Amino acid sequence: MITLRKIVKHYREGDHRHNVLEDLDLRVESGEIVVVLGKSGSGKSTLLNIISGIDTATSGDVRIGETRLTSLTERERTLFRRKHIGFVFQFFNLVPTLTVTENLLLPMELNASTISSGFREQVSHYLNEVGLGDRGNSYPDRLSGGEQQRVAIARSIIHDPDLVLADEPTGNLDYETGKQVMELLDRMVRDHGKTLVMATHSPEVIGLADRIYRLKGGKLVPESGPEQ
Amino acid sequence: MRLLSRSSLRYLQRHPGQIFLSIIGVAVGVAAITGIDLAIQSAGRGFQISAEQVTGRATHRITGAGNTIPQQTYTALRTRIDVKHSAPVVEGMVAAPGYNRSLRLFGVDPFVEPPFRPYLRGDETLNPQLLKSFMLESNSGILSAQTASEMGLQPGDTLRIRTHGKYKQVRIIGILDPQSQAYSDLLKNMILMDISTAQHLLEMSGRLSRIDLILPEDANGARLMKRIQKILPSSARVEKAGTGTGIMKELVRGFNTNLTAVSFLALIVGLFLIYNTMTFSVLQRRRQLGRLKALGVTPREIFTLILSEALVIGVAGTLIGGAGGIILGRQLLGLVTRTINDLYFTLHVTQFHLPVTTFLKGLGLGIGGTVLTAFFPAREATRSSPRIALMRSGIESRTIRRTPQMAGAGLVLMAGGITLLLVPVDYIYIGYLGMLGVIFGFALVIPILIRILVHFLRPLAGKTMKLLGKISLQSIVTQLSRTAVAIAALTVAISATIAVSSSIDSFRQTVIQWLDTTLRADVYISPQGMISRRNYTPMDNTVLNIVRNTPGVTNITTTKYFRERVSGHQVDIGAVDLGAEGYRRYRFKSGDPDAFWPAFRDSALALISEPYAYHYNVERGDTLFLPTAQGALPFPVAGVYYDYSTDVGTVLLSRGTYERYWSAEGITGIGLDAAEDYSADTLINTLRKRLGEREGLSIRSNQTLHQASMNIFDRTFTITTVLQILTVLVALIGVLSALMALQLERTKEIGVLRALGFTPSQIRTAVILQTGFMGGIAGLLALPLGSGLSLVLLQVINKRSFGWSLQLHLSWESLGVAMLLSIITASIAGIYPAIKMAGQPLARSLREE
Repeated sequence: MITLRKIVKHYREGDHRHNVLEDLDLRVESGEIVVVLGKSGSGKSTLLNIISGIDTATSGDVRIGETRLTSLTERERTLFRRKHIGFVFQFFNLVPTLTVTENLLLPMELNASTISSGFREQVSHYLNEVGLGDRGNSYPDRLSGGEQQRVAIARSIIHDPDLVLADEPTGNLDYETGKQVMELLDRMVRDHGKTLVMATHSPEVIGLADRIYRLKGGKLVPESGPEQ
Repeated sequence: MRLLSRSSLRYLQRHPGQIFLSIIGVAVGVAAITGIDLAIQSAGRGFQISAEQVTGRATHRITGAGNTIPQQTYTALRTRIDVKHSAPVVEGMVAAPGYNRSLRLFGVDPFVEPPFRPYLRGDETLNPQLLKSFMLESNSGILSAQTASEMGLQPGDTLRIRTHGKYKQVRIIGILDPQSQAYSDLLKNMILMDISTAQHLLEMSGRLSRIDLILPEDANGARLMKRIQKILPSSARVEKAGTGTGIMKELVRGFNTNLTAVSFLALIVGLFLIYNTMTFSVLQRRRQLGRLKALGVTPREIFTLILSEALVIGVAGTLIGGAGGIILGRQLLGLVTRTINDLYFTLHVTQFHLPVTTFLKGLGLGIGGTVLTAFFPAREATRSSPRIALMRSGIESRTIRRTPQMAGAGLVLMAGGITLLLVPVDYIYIGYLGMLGVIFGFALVIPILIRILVHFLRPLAGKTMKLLGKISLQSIVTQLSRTAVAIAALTVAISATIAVSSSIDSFRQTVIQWLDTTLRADVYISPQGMISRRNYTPMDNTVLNIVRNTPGVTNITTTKYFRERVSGHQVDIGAVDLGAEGYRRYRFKSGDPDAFWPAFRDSALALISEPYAYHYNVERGDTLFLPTAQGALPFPVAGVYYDYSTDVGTVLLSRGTYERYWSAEGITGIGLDAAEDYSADTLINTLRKRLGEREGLSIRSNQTLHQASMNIFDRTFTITTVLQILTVLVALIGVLSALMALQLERTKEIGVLRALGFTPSQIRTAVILQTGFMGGIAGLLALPLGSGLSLVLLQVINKRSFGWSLQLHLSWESLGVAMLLSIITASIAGIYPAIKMAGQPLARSLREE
C-alpha cells in the first residue's frame, strides 16, 4: 500500500517560487493500477519521482508498505528502490552499454549477494514473455522504440518489486505500438500481481486503470473511470 | 551566420570547465615550446655578447696552433706590412675563488685598442690617469662597474685569482662605467689588463692568444690578406672574425636539437589534446549540428563554425602559453646555461632575451596547430548526413565499423614514418617528421586494439568485478568514438614519458659502462675549475714531477686537451700518454687496438671519437689535416673510439706526437695507480700534502670522479625531466578534459542506473573503474609505442644530435611505473566526474536528453 500525505513540492527559479504539488494526498492499494493524467508540466513526473524516492518533497509524508520513505537517507532510499520499485520511462532508458540480456540481469544482480545461474533462465523467460526471446544479445540501440519499451517493462518487474512506476510509457511511441505496449504492461503487472502507478497524458489508457486521477493545480482530482 | 556564432559562443559559455582545460592544455604546450626556445635564444644571445667581448669590431684575426701565436708575428705585422689596424690580445679564463665565479682575463695594448673596442677609448671611459696606472702598475686590472659592484670591489682593493693552479693577486686600479648598456654587457665578468700583465699572469710570456685585424672590404683588403699570409709562421692562420656565434651553434647543436625534440613531444601531446577537445565538441553537439543541417545550414558554414571555435581556444591558449613561456624560459635559462657550462664552454648570461621569432613560432604552433587539428573533426561534422548526425548509435556503429580501415591507414602512416626515420640523412627535421608519422599512425590503430583488448578483458572483468566491471569495460567500446580519442591522447603522453625516461636510462647505463672502462686509474688530478666540463687549463709544470716522486704512485698517465679548428670545425684535440696497455681504457668502434697501439704511441696517427666520426663523416683509414706548429699536417685515422664525455668531436694523439708536432707543453689531467700496500685514500692524502701550496688542484679517487661524472650527467638531464613533467602535465589536462566530457555525457545513463538502484558510491566506483580501465588500456598500448619512441630517440634523434651509439635499455620497473602512471592519471581524471555524477540531482539526470 502506498500512502502520500500532504505532499508539497516547490522549485525555485531565481526569485520566483514555482509550486508543483500542493498538499497532495494519495492512497494506492496493493495490486491496484492507478493512472495519473495531466498536461505536460503539471507535475506527474515529479509525483512519481517523489513516490520512488528519486526526488524529495518539500514537505509531507510518503509511505510504501511499512516504510516511511521521507525519513530515509538517500542511500537508504536507493537501496529501498533497488528492491521494491520497478521503472518504465518515456525514453526507455535502457543502459546503452549493456545488451538486452544484461539490462534484465541488472536489477537481479543488484539485489543478489551472489549471481545465480538461474538468473539467465529467468531473463530468457521474461524475454519470451515480452516477445523478444531472440534479441537477448542485441544492444539497445539496435532495437526499435517499441522493442526497447518491451525490454524496459520486463526489466521493471524481473526483480519482483512491489511497485511499478511508469512515466509516460507510450509518450515516445506511435499509437499502434503504444497500444501494444500498454496491453503488455497491463498483462505483465496483473499476471505478476504488482501495483502500478502510471503517469500519462494519453486518455487511451483509461480502460486499463482501476482508478484515475487528474493532476491539476498541484492536487489530484479523481476522474470517472471503470470503477469510479 | 550571426545566430550561428551566437549559438557557438553559448556552447563555449556552457562548457566552461572543458574549454578552460583545453585552453590550459594548449597554453602548457605553447609554454613548453616557447620557454625552451627563449632559454636557448637567451643563451645564444649571451654567447654572442661574450663573442663580441672577444672580437670587438675586428674583421679578421690571426690565430695559431694550440690557440697561441708567437709575439714576433705581431712585431712582423707592424713592421713589415702596413696594416692600419691590428691589436694583440692575450686572454684566458681565471677563477675568482672567493666569489665562486670565473672571469675572462683580457690583456690588450691600450694604444692600438680604440678602433677595435670603443669602450676602451679615452673619451669614453679610460681617462689618461687611469691609462697610466693601467700600463705601469704590475698585476693591476680594471673591472666594469657592474661586475665590481656585484663582487663588492672598489678601486684599490685586491682580487685573488687562480690560474694554472696558482693563486695570484690583482690590484683593482679602476672601474669602467660605460654609458651604453651594450658596452656594460660586453664588459661583464671581464677583467681588463695591460697585455704584459696578462702574459705574466697567464704564463704566456712571448706569446699572444691572437691578433685582431680590421681590414678593408675591398681589393686592397684582399691584397693585404695575401701579404699577411706570406709572413705568418706555418702554425698560424688568418680567419674571418665574428664566427663566435657560429662556433657556439656548432658546439651546442646536439644539445639544442635534443631539447627541441623533447619539447616537440610535448607539443604533439598538446595537439592531440586539441584534437580531442574539438572532436568532443562536435560529438556532443551532433544533435544540434544535425538540426542545423536539417534547417539548411551548409556544411561550409558548419565547418567555419567549428574552426572559429578552435581559433578562439587556440588564440586564448597561445596568449596564456606565451606569457607562461616567458616565466618558464627564465627558469629554464638557468638550467640551459648550467648544462652548457658543464658540457661545452663557460657562458655567462646576464639578460633574458625575448626575440620576436620565438613568439611567432609559438603563435604559429599554438594557433596553427589548433586550427589544423580541428580540421578533421570539423570535416567530420560536415560530412555526416543530418539523420546520422542525430543518432548517437549511428556514430558509434560507424566508428566501430571503420576501425579496420583506420588501422590500415595507421599502419601505412607508421610505415611511412619508419621509412623517414631510416633515411640516412643528418637532417634532424626528417627525424621529427618520421616520429610524428609513427605517433599519429599508432593513434589510428588504437581503436581496433581497444576492441581486441576489451574483448579479451571483459570476461575477466565480469568475473572479478561483476556487473560494475562489465559495464565499465564494455562502455569503452560502446562509446568508442569518444573513448578512443581519450585513450589515444593518454597513450601518446605515457609513451612520451616512457620514451624520454627510457632514453635517459639507456644513456645513463651506457655512460656507467663507459666510465667503468675509461676510469681505470685509482686517482685523478686535474685543475680545479669553477665548472665541471673537460678542463683546458694546464696545470703548473712542477705538479707532474711532484707526483712522480711521491711514494706509492705507479702507472702515471697524462692527458692534455685543447680546442682547435680542424677542417673548419671546432673540435677538441687530446694528447695522451697512457703506457703500453693504455688502449684498454678505450672501447673501439672500429680499428684493432692490438695492431695500431704500438704505432700510435710513436707515430703521427690519430684516433677519433665516435661523435667526430659521425658528425664529420670520417672513418678509419681517412686522413685528417691537423693545424700543427709546422702547419697543417696529415694524420691517418687509426681507429674510432666511443666517447660519451662530450659530443664535441675529439681527436686523440699520443703525447709524443703532440710534443713533436706542436712543440708545446702542459698537461690538463693526470691519472695514477696506488702501488701495492697503498690505498687510494692514503695516496690522495699524501698528494694533497705534497701539492698543498697548489690549492687549485682537484685530487679525486676513481669513485669520486665516477660519482662527479654521474652528477653532471644527472644535472644535464634535469631540463629534460622538467620537459617530461610538462608533457605529462599536458597529458593529464588532456585526459582530464576528455574523461570529464565523456563522463558528463553519460549523465542520463548514470541517472538510469541510479533510478534502478545503484548507490552513489557504486556510481563513483563505476566511473572511476571506467577511467581506470581506460588508463590500463592506454598504459598497455603505450608499452610498444613508448619502446618504439625510445628507440627513435636513441638511434635517430640522439644519434643525429650527438653522434653517440646508445643501446636501448628498457627496464620492467620503468615500464611498470609508466603503466601505473597511466592508470593513476586516468583514475584521478575520473574523480571529479565521479563525484559530480554521483551527487547530481537524480530527477534532473533523468530529464536530460
